[in-house]
Amino acid sequence: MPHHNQILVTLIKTRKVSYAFSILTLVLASFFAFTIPYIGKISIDRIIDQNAEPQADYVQSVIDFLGGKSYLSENLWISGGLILLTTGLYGLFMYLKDYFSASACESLLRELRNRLFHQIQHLPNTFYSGVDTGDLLQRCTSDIDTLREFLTHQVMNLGRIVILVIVVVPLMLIQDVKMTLISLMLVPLVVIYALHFFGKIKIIFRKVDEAEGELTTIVQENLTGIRVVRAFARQDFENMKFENKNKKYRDLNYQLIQLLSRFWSISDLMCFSQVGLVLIAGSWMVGQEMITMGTFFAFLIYTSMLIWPLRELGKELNETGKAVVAIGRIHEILEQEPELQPQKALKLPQRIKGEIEFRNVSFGYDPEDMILRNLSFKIRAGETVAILGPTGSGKSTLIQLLLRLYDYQQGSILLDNQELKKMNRSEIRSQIGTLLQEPYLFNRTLGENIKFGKKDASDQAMVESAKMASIHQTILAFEHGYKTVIGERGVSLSGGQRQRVTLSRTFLKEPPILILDDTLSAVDTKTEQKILEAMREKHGHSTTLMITHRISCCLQSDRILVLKDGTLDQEGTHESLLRVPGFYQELWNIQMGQKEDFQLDLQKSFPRSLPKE
Amino acid sequence: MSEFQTASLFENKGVWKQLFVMFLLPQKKRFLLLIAVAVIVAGIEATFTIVTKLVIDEVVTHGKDAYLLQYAFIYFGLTVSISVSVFIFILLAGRLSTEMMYHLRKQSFEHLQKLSFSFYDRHSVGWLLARITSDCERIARIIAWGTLDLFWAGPMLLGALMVLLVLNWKLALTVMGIIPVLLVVSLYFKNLILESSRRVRRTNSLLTATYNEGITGSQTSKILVREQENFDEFKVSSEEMHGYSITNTLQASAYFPLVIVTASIGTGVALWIGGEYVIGGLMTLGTLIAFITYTRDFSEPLLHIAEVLTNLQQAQACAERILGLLNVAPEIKDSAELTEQMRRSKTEHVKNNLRIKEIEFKNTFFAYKQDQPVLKDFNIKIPAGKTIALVGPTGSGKSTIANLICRFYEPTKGEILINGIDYRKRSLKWLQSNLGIVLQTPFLFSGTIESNIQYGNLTASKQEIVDAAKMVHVHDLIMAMENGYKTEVEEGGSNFSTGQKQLLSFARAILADPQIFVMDEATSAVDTHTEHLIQKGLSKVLENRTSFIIAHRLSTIRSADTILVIEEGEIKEQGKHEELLQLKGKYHDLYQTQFI
Repeated sequence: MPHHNQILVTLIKTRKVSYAFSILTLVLASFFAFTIPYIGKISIDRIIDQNAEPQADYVQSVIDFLGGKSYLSENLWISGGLILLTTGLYGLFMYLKDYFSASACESLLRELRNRLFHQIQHLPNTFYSGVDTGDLLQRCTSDIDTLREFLTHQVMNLGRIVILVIVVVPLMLIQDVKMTLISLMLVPLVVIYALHFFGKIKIIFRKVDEAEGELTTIVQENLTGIRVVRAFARQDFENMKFENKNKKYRDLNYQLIQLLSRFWSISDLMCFSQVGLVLIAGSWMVGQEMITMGTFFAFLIYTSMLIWPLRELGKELNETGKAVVAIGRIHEILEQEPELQPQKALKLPQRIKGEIEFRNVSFGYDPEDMILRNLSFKIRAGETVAILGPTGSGKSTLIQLLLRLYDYQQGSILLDNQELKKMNRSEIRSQIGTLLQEPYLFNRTLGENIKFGKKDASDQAMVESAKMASIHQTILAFEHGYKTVIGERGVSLSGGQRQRVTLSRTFLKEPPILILDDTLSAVDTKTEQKILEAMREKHGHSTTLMITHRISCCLQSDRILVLKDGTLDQEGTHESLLRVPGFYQELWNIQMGQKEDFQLDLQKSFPRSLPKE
Repeated sequence: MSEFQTASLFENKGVWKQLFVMFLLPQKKRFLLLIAVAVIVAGIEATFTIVTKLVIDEVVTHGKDAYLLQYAFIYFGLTVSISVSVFIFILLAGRLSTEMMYHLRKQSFEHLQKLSFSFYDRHSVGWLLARITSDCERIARIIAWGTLDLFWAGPMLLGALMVLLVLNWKLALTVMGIIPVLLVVSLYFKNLILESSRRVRRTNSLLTATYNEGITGSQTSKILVREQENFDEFKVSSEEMHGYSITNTLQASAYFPLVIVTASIGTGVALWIGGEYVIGGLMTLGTLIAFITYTRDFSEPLLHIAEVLTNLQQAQACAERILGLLNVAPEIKDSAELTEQMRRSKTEHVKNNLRIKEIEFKNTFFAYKQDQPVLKDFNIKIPAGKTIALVGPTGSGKSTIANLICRFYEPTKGEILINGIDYRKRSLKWLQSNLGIVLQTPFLFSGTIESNIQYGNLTASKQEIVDAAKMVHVHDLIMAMENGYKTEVEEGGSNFSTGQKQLLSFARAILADPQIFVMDEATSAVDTHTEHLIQKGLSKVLENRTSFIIAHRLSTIRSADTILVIEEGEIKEQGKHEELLQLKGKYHDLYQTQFI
């Protein structure tokens, strides 16, 4: 575990000066906190008390400096003013302490946030495929919040209590040892009880958190799936599901409060007893003339000054456990290797030709379970190739390898006859326009989304690409046109619309290589044909790879590759593949079966037109 | 954000009144008891200082012979009783807050189950979720603990003041001068801090959203080589967060010293004037020390009062949102007469057996937004057991027709009749429990595959579930998984592909054995091979059911009893497959493009 904190230590070290200042100011503040009751004590003993004898000590010199006892007793406002002044100084140094610590902590957190964001942008895909994105998001947000809470509250409170004790207790001892011991008699008991208690209720705290999480999940699923709920008239069932979780959360929460009420009342009993002890014992000692009235007064205040914050110690110390877990979780992200870049990257031309070759490529996300086996094929620059195959045959995987989202394990991939691994990842990606199976749009305006890959594109070009993707008219139909915000806080688009927006985003890049990973599945056939035609016209010179399961798409391609179990099963043009038994022929037959039906339908519909044939 | 201003706190009394009547009145006894205990605690705390004074005066007058034992007993007695009272009052406040939270959530959730889709169209899931989770929590916490604080702090302050007035009214009145100052300073700062905290939270949720996009869109960002720009944009927000957080902390840091300095004016004055009284023999030393202690004690209850007042402002906004939600009347619900009738005759269950003979759209108009009609004077009669296919371009109104049949929305004009009676005169629950719907964007609940299919019919046996799964050819796929039907579905069904989710929700709908079956692009993401298999079994599924099918794949549509070609909310063509082909119209064109 300790190495987890390394990052924290490194970050703290860079703000050494601020932290040193905040400790210094805290020491000063504690000193003044001590002084306030002390002034009260001196006033009572040396000024207000008629029988007080002048003593030969430093206090007397201060009194003499201010005009002597009788002058001060006639002008008691000076004592009052001094209390005000000391309190002011105490407040000032408390403020300064916060000033130094806040700027240090917040800068540290800013640094950590930035590092996390930078990291999640550069982590390899292998990392993302194995993690739960919700959990990852929590690490970047809630865990940072926990850390912030820890740095700005727990550490500060702990520091305040500890330094207060360190500064005040010796000063108390100087005044009267016996009184000090009496004032602190029950303190260890309170601290131990608090530590023990908050250690023990951690479990129930966690249970409450979990119950809350379950409750949230139920509500969230209900709201997201509201159509399903209504479709099956399951409102009562949902109410019951919610009722269970709601009750569970309520009961656990109340259970926690019951425990807390026990803690607060028992610790109240201890703390008030401590104050009572000082009151009775102290006043008895005053009566026995063992201590002065002023000392008694001061100790009465010191006791409450120490005991109440010390009671909180248990809570604060137990909270640090959470922060340790949080920093560990954050560290787990930061310690991941980001995507590796080659030492000396090959310089790619402004625009590559777009020739792609796979040579005996093998790859598996899990080395035990290879997805691609010895895959070899070649695609000429400017060629349009359709890739077919059953689910799990490795179609999408080969795209991921080409984009270097994953690193191939064996064989080689060549781009314009150069080894892919020797190139800079971002340079490869900027040459390839890719449309992923699941279109991803950002929570911005439509225009910004289209220009996402090419920020400096003109509006003219943006509109052109939207027209190509057959989405221009749809966009104009929105009230704010290209300025329409989409996503959670804006307009929601249908699957087909989303696909077409990402399509226009890719078109705008005008890449030498274009990859469509089953991109038009949610677009109707008519629109699909329109888009494909537009693509031919504009991007005829781009090398195009289309993963599809539609025959209509294959008809638009120069060549067809059929994958099966990670190897090349069939290869050829539409005509050549039709003649060989295999996947392609089967697919064709299914769709032709439908077509034959169609022909039959037509014949039935137009019986009189038959004899002409 | 004017709704959060101080001035509005008591303007909107209606909100508090409604909240009080709905959630506190049922717990009246507990609420009153809480107030009583809070007052007792305050009383005891105020008494502590009197004992201190008495002890000191005893020592000053009797010196060595001071008799202190009785005071020790009194003090200890007070200590025990305050501990017991604190125990009771935390329990009571805790009970009040957890109960209130429970009821707020229960009512909101159950109300949401009744609200119509038009309401869901206007509010995002995230927004609604925040109402049920954080708003309910905040209101309950602030009201319960705020009540406790107020009824402790008020009497505490009053008690202290009364004691002071009795001890020495002149000095008491002088010292009391700091109270308004403290209150004004506190309220001013609390508001300032509230504002800046809100800014911090807003920026924080912006950061969360950016992280979320950074994570979920990481692949897209990589492909578009946008990493650096994204990072630069993030840094701007994170810098903002840095600034706002520091401001927020420093405001809170300035507040505390100001309060104690103000309070220490009281202490200073007490020492100055009180000291003079002591020197002049007008006051005992015990009284002086009591005064000084009380002036220190002032600030705490005052701070609590300021805190409660600011929190209430915050709660006001939450309360307005929650009550706003609870006050939305469901647009679609059983009419009052029908509810009354059902209550009297208890016929709801009997009516479940009602067989649908005919569904009719009669001069039906519909618009999601005013002056943007989607359906215009729509007319059709559908005999039971028939399969109706809806064909047409995106946005033509196909899904709207499905939504109207399910009574997710109601016609804005005209009627929809079931067996000749306007369906608004029938029970909503009856209609919807006779529906089976498969949507393009399928939704799975967390739980197992089995429980997800079972959602269609809660009493279905394992065998029936398996049969339904077999019918849509998803059984083999399920069995191929390690845990078979017991495979856990992750949140949002993220461990299944869209096609698989479509198949599972298809099975769920079949299990429901509905009289009306609606498929809205139900198999769009299923691969061609599986789709083909499903087609074969579909006729069996649709037998004896009135079905509405929306699909792009014409193979699904061919066998329908009636095909409606919809464009701009109107039926352009209507008839059987062959008839429509003969027309050589829109349907023919559409069909042609399927095979080029």
